[in-house]
Amino acid sequence: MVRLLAEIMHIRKIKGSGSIEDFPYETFSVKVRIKGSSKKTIKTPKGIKGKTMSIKRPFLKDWMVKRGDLIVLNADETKQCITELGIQGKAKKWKGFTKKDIDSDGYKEILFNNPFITAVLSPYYGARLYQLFNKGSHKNELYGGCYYKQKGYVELGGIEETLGKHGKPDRLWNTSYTLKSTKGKNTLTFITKIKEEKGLSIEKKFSFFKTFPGLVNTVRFHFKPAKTKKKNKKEKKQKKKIALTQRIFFAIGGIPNYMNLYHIPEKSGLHTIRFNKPLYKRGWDDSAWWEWQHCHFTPEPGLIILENELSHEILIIFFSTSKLNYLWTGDKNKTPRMHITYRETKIEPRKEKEYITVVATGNCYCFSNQQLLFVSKGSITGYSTPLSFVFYSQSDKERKILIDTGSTIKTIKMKRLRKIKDIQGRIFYYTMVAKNDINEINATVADTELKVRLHLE
Amino acid sequence: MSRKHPFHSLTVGYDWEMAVLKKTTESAGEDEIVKIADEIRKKLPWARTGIDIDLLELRMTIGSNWDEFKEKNRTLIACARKIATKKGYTILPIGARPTEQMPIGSHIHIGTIPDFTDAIRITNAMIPYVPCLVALACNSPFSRFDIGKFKSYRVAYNAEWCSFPVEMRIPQCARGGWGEDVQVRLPRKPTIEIRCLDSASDITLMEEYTALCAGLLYGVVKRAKKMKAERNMIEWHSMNRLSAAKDGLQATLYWYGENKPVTAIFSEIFSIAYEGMEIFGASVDDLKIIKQMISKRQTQSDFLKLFIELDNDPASLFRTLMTVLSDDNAFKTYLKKAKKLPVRKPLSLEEYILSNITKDVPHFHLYMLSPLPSYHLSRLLRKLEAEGKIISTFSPYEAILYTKTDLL
Repeated sequence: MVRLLAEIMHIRKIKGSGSIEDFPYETFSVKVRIKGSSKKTIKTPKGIKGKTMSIKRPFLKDWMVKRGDLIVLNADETKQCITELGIQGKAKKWKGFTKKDIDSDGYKEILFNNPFITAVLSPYYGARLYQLFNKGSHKNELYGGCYYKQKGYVELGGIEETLGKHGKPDRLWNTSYTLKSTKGKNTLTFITKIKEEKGLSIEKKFSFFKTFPGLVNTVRFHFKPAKTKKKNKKEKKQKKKIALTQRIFFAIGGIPNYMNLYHIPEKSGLHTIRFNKPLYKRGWDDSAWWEWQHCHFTPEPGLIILENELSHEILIIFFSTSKLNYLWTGDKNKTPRMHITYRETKIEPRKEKEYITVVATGNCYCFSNQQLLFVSKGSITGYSTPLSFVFYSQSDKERKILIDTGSTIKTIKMKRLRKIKDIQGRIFYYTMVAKNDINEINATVADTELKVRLHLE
Repeated sequence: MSRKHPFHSLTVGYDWEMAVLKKTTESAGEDEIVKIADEIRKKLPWARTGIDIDLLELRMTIGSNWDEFKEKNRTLIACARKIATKKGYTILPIGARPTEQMPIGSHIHIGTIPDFTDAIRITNAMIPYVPCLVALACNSPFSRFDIGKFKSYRVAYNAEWCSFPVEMRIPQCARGGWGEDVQVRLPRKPTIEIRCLDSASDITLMEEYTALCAGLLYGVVKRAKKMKAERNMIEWHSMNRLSAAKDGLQATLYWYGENKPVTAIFSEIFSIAYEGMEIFGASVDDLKIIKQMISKRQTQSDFLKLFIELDNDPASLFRTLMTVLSDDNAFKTYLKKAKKLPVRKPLSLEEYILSNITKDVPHFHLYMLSPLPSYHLSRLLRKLEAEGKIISTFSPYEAILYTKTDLL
């Protein structure tokens, strides 16, 4: 994602030449001085500005570069530069997480692993959930493409927030957050102040689980205006307006093509939309304002299923319907995306507003009567495969699941995921380990029509 | 049509769009571009230069003489460059950027034509020649991180609603429009605007384009008088437009019943244009760069493709091109040494449409992709369906959706 601007200091011819369409080129060792990021909105990795390094590049003889010319390092050269000159260092374990620079941009991401998912958080770019690997398919389900858009915005991918109108990106996408100390295991909280909105700060909390194939993402706004000297004891109450949109970039199965389906539950059943990228699309203004026909105001229950039509792997996002304005499905854009746009609200001084989503991955599912059953497959370890069966219902009633492995049938009580504020209904799950001699597993939730069948490798 | 020539006098002007870039290749931004445009206008009041979203638009004053036009063109470019360089920016005319959006065009106005129905007839008569101009002006072998499939992504993408296929109109019934490849600007302005050209990186080439367009529109008047509406002309013009955007001067076009290399059509174009060019003070012999391009089937896109072969990382490539194109003679140097390219096979529009059908593809996507009018596109799709290659389903939101049968 980051590209570095560099100035040529010295050129030396080395072995390697050829021609393209009869125009000869030669290969050179080029000593460059790093000037910084080639994009103002993308951070320059620490410790490299002003330093020099050598790269190998071919140049056409008729259009040779010279000392003082500027170049932009390509992806491989940038990675080489950060590896050689950057100061981030190796990956390290930290409180149940791992800090590692996974995309070679010079900034460490924070990784969480359980048997079913690897979640990657990026504190320096909006404290976003940057990647979410489905271990059952070995694919990252959140994909952005890193495409450049207007006013310096880059589609990094994952889930980012914006307070911009109609869900347009504002500065939050590349704001650096700081880690805040948090109670609770497997939980991280990040905080930042919003420069353009005095007194307003955002806290983002990510809660992970040992055996649940997902996480809880909480976005909390605090409003603490500066104290003013007022003779009148009745201080005029300032309120801050906010209209939050969560922008979600995805590619289920890792490929942003027509196989990506959006399933939106409505009273009449699941409404399915296919992603279809048009060649012609105008470059600016791909937003809910222009594409109002892709807004969905009444999903019920509060969830959306994003599926790969071929592999049937899924990404599910649960959200609050009481706070929702609309979902927007960006199914006619360069890559698949969607918005969860919440209703505009006001925060009073020293109060907070909270928005919670649950994000989970799965490898097959069944939806009926506003209930959902899905199973998540983990990485095969030794002689077994971890499986997590997840059931969602609007009822809080205790749930049992029947699991048929071919040789045995068991009925097991499902565990309740802790009650999540504003998410209507309840999530239940049951995690097991399937031995590798099992070819197929069928599961049914008692007193429902829901069945899943999973083939195991 | 009036007995006098429809062009009251032969005049030219242009809106020449160009990116204004920082050293990092980022755009200087609207505010800075406005400042540059304002400074240009203070120094050269006759150049009503301005901004078009994120681009500097150099606007040439009305001229009727080739030598005067060239002098003013160079003065304007030199002035723009000087002001931009002082601020630390680079001006880059090019058809599209490898990274950002915003297609960039050379829009040439030919006037002065006071009668709307005359202008419509001329525009109708220009339809077969648009693909030839597209082929000549290819200068966008990349756009928004897409690279290599087209020589003019800008035209393939219809310049994102800023240059789309010409509508054939009944002159007495026509109304004005905006954004077509050749656009009548009446009743607002007494010109016909040629919008289909990618922004020229070479200054001399821009001058030659202007002279050629002036001559062509002037001369095509005689064709307009004799022109009968050929029933399939729109269909094959659409195919030709796509072929030209894909293959540039290597394209083979369908031309009045036979396949013909686009370069072979230029002799006809020159014979149409010579009279108007002479009135303008130029001659076909002055089109030195264009003639060289035609003889070798080389375009500015082919030049840029050399660099793509070495480095197809869009961000890195863009910086390289900024350096290379800062030399005014870069393309001329290339053209001198470049070899003659072979003619490419004609594009099969059926195969092209079919290759872009996956599952549930709306008719509208194919309409924008293909430049065919709906009638011809629907005919082609029905043929593919009859052959069992695709199936269609109906959607109340998007009309017809198409799926390739081997993906079912």
